[in-house]
Amino acid sequence: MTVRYQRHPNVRLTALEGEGVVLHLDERRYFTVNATGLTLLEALVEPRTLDDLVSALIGEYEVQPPDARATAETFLRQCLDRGVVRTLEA
Amino acid sequence: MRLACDRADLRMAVERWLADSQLTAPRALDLELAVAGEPWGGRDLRPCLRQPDIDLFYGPPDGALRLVWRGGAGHAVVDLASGAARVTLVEAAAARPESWLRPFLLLVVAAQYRALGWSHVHAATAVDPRGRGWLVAGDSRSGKSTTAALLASRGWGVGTDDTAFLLDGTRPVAVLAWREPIALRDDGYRLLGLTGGAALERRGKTGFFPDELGGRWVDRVTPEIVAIAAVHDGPTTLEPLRPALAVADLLSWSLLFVVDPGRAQRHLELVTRLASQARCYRLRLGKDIFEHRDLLSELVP
Repeated sequence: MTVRYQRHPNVRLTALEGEGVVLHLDERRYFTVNATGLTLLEALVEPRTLDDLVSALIGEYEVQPPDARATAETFLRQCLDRGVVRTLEA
Repeated sequence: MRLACDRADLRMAVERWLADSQLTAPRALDLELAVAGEPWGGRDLRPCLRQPDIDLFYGPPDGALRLVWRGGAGHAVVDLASGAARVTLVEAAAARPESWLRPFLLLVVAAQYRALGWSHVHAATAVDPRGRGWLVAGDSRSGKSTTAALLASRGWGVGTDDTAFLLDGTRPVAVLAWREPIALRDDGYRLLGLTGGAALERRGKTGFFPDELGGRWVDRVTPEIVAIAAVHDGPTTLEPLRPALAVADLLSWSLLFVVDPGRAQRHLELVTRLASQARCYRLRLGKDIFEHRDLLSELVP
């Protein structure tokens, strides 16, 4: 089973000088993310696998695959905890 | 505003209050005002945003916004698409316009204005002697009003000390002011060394228009400087703030977008444009500003 991830539909995102501002309408919370987080959240507008997200980071930054995977995993975990991202199992 | 009300006294009070604000909308919005014998006793199970004295219920099935005055003295239904509002007040409250015009109806009108693309933000607006527009955002204890009065006393143009509307349709983003007296608490009044002013009894404050302090009123400001304000015990400081952090702060002072999720992305982009066009700062206000009254001008090159 492949797990895919996607931004929660009630999350809004804007980019500003390389950072992102995330707004969760349900939770009425807003916070900023760095450039890496912005890249991942922009990718997550569509359902993505972890491998997709690792590829997005490698395509955007000079980063080794193991580091990209660790970054994506950590970020996903934080986003899942905050309800910013949800899992889609198919 | 196209006002419908059977009671001439209420209609006159609302018309005068709206006229005093000097805000002219590009198109008329419908506002219906009625008096009821009993407080609204219904239940609204939709999500709720709590504001001081007012609960806001929003979302499906009809998409309308309901504002319920927690004292039970009135409620309003606002169609966010058309901007039309229907307000019902109980007789006892209706007889005291000062008890509901600003405390209740202002929030209703701010919700109506969303249909025009106007977003309410708790912020002071000003124009400094060099012609630069300022927007100073913050909560009710952040020093906005005292700062607005101080700036007016130094000859700045001041629009509002708290009630501003970001205009979605302008490039760069412009901000309109709801005209009303700058409302000072006793400590601000004392520190500014003022005398006179209008007693704002319900708010426990003293009011001044900018021209009464040596400044002038400005209806519209295009912010070049955005300051997120707070008071503190140390000296006054103005530190550059990353625009993304300014956006996050501005969102917290413009919470009405929460009740209008369909336009939330537009609001986010509007606030982002505002932060992009301006230099953003974290303003920490200390008491030294009362000794050194041109400090803000000097802190921003």
